[in-house]
Amino acid sequence: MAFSSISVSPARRRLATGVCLALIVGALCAGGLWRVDSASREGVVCEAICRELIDNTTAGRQALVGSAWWAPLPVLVRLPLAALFEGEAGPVASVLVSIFFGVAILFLLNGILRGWGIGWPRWLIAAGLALHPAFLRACFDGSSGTMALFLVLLSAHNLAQWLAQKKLRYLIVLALATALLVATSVELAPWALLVLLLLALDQVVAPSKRWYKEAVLILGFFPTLYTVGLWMLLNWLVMGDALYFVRSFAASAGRDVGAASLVPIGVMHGASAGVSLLLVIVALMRKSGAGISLGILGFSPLVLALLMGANGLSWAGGPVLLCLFPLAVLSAAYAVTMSGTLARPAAVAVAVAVLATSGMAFMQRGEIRPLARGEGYSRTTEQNRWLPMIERHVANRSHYPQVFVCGYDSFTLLGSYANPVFVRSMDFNFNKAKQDYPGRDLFVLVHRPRARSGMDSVHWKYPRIFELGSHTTLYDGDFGDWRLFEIVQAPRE
Amino acid sequence: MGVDRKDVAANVSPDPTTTPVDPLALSKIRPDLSAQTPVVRSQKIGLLVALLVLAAVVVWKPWAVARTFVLLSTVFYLVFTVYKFLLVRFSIADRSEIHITDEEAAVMREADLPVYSILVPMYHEAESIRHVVESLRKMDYPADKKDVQLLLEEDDEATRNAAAQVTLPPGFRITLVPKSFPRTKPKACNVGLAEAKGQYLVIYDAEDRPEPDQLRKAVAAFRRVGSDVMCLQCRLNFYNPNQNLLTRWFAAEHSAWFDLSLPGLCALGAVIPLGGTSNHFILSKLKELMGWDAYNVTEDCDLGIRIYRQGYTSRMLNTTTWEEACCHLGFWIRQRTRWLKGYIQTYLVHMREPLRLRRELGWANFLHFQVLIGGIVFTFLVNPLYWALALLWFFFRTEALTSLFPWGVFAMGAICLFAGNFVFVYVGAIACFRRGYYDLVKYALLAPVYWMMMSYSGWRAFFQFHVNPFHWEKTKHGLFEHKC
Repeated sequence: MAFSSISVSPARRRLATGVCLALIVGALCAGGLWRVDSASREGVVCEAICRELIDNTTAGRQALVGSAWWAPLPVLVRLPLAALFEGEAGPVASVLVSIFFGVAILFLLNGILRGWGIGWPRWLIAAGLALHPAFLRACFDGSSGTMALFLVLLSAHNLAQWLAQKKLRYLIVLALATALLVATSVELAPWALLVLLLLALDQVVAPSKRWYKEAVLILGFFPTLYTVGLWMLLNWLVMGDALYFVRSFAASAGRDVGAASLVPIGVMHGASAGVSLLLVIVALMRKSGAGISLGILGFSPLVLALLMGANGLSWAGGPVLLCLFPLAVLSAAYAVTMSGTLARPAAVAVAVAVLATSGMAFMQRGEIRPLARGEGYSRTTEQNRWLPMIERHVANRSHYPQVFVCGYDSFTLLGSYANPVFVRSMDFNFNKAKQDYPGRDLFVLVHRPRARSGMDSVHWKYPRIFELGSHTTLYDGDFGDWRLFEIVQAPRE
Repeated sequence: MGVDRKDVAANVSPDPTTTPVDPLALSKIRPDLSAQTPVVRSQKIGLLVALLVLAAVVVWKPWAVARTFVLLSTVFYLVFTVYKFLLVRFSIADRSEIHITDEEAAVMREADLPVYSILVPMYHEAESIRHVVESLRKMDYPADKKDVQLLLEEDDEATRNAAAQVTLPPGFRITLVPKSFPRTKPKACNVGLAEAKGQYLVIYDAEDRPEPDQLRKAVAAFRRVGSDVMCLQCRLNFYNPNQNLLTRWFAAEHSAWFDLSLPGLCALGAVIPLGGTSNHFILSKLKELMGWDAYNVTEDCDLGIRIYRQGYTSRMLNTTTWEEACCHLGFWIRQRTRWLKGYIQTYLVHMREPLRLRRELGWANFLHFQVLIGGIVFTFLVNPLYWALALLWFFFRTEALTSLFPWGVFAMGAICLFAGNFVFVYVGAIACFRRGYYDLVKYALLAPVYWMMMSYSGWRAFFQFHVNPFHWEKTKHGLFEHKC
């Protein structure tokens, strides 16, 4: 299917690849590090967890495994860099990791398109994806968006290749990629399970022998099952409860109500999903199982985002929606491979469409604004403003205060602030707090249960604690989104 | 390889054309390369001094010693895990083995084929005689160019009688191995080596079923490769993988080793510890090396190292010999004990002069040797300790354990425990799939139980090395036909 008109020697191709790689990495690093102080909350928190792990604290271990909403793999990937850049201002490790995976996505896409026989237009397609504001934002914000997207593309491509060619290496890569995706992003875990479901469906309908089907399913499912099992084991070891990390799923705190539950679906999202749906239709006509699966995978993030919104998890839709456009690009490219003699003009058309889409996205103010410096999350705001106020307040209330700062937001509030008055608590328990700190006046600081903050353990262990407190607490003040409660104890003689 | 064969050859064996018939030639002419003395004096002194120093330090600073041991072994585990992963990666590379197509093997004219010597050592294998003869007769090679020796022990009446009942085809003969110490397979093979007439030579076990065109492929491969290649190792696997759970595990293990590890060594140009059968040699070069070490119970592994020390290499060949997987747990343990005891012997023999070994093998192969031979024994011996520590940690969380594993060591240990073991188990499952053993994939996931059996055998080997180093625990064959 390859139709490259110019033959290039391998040495020149390697040189060109090296130069491109250097330019891309340099440009992205420059952009990312220029706005490192505007990184996403996720990037800040992940890096703070890394520092806790390096310091070998209990809070660090609990934060690593204790919540499905803060998957462990993004933290572990950042760990070596966090150790290297310890003391640096800003979440440098997070930004570098998100840039790294952004570059990896572009090279993966280039490799996929080359393997599918798409010649020089693949460079334009990759460039179009690279210039999309949402993609650039994900590269710069230090979140796990690019890491998850990389695994999504890897899974989708390898599933399509396995369905088309039944080569073992595709099965292995898709199995490992889906397992890693589950450990990277709980929002995309249902999508990963969809990949495995499509694999299983293919085996159900395939005219193979029973042992072969069984072997395929074992190789496909085992890494994911092992990942989940390991996560449960670590929760049993660290939190004392194997299902601790998923107990927030049953909680109502953090879920949107009413209009807030609508997921912000844009025209681009709809168009991207439409392209993947088109591939499903074309593939059905061509009886291409690989095409059908790829199209379903490309369309499903939209459905997933809508389902999340219906369950009050609209705030979790971002990483899911981020995948729509790249999957649409993949779907369009796969459709090109089914175009026969029209492959070359089709590839050019796809490249033009991708570039045009990115250009239109840039023209929308809503898309481009977050790329500007100064936007995004800044942990210094909370530290500089609220922390001293809280410290003065409790010092005025008691000579021996102890403040438990609950949940993952404690990483953004406290950062590396070293004051023994504040104790980070990932698994707050009133009785244990009283036992461990006898003779002190105890306070608990709880973040407003909005979006991901509402999934912290303090909210599902003590429902509505933010609104109503508990039977052992007295309201003591608000500091931004933080609410301070005094823990009431029996009077001392 | 970084090793000058002239320097090496100047140090070694006599003219191969006048090699003595003595099957113990290696141990007499080059005792430094023989396991006849299990541990030489310099090693005994070194070990004694090390033990005394260790004892003193343990008394003085017990926790420091324990922490140092944990640190070093954890680092080794991590290195071993990465190493095995790389071997798998290189095993699927194109240059991992010599690939001779069936067509290339078939078109070779019989007139162009040389005489091929085949040695089949047999001891208490009366029930296998007919099978062996039939299996070798069927090999696609001119009958008048097969030089087959059935090596029978002089006092093995049962096997001799069974052989007498069989009409041997042309080119087949019985060679009697005189009763003498040590009574080992390599000694018998050396007897056969002295009588061999071919240009090439191969060893088969009594229960083996090599692919019919294996000899042709070996000839084609030898003609294709350079003069430094003196040995071709074929893949080994089993014709009874589904007999019971033990054979399933055994088949999974062999698939992973011969399909996803040894080829990786080949691709890296690394020293290959040969398998016990289906090793094809250039006869003259094998005589130059004085054959096998009669005192080493894994003579194949030892020979694999000596090949590289001599400046030659081994390669993998894309053909399989099917053998019988041991289906009886008792026999399996004895077999595995012998293999691991042989690895201990091989390691100690070649580490008598480590600087010389490093010079002859080069740095890369010296390190491969440490990991492959010494490292495998070490892991089987130390594994039970780490399993116990892990279980204690899971259920009791004692402070003592926490102090043994500072954060960095704990992180490495966690990677080895959770990621490393997953890799080993998954690779075993992949190997079964590649081999076409689809029904064995699920049993490969239970490999950790199999590893426990290997560790038990490892400790058994360790003790047996001290009390009876040359004892050859014979593996009983023919159990496939008669249920275990």
